[in-house]
Amino acid sequence: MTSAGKIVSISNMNKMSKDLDVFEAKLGSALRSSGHLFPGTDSEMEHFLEQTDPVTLPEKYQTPDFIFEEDVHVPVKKVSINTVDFSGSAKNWALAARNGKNLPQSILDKMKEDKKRSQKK
Amino acid sequence: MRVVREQKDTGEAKEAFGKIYNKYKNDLWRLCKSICGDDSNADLVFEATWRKVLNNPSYDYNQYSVSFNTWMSKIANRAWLDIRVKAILGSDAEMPEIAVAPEDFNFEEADESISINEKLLEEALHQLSEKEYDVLLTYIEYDTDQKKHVPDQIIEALKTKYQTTSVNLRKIKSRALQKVKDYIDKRR
Repeated sequence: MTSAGKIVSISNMNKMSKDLDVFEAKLGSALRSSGHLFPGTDSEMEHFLEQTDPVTLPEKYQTPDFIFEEDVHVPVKKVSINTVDFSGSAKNWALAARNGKNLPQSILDKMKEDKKRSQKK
Repeated sequence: MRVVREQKDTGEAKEAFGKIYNKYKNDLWRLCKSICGDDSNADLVFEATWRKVLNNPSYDYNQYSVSFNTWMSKIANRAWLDIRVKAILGSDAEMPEIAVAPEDFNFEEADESISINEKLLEEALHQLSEKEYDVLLTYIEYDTDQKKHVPDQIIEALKTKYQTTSVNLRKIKSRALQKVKDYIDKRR
């Protein structure tokens, strides 16, 4: 190949490479507008929403509770399964008993029930 | 979103967030379903996106002049990449910081951007093998900011998945791109 031939060849390669780059940019945009990739511009997003049919949102996502539920469920400290249920009023009763307060019979009965229930678990 | 995050009262924060959520939940779900395929992947991306939107202060919508939908789509895209990389390389795989930085946005709306006929595009993509499709689209996902830099973790994930080298990945990508271009050029 002559040097002129080489220059033409390199020039063609550069042109082909540039064409491919331009095509890649167009392809990227088309892919982001048609649901193959996530849209990156407003026009791609608009196009996607125009061209695709709505889909039904699952029941579990009707409200954003799943986000907040996860935050609440992050355990600070794991407790053993067999410990007494410290939720709600049982916790207050236990505290009252620890402080030496006299507890009414109805509450003592309820505590016994709770203890039995926790032992069954 | 900053207003939501800064609410001291949990109830008010939830209510404020709920309004935003209700406005955009359907569009985001439609995106997730369309792009991530099966429901379990769509679930992961949908939930990860909302969590990042709510909890990550570096995702501040007020800084950007794109619609909220588009902003969320960018976050979902990063979440999707993150999930895929971790699925291949393991949950310890460190992904590059996925904060949506200003330079990450391509504000220029190219006039010729959406000029490929969709039917033709679908046909052209069907010419590709699963590997070619995956490699090509993964590379293109990182071309949005025109930097053409695919993070090492992504390359590593692709190398592991297809048991190949970086050089071969680039060849696969180029070949796939050329194949799609040739198909479309012939039918125009």
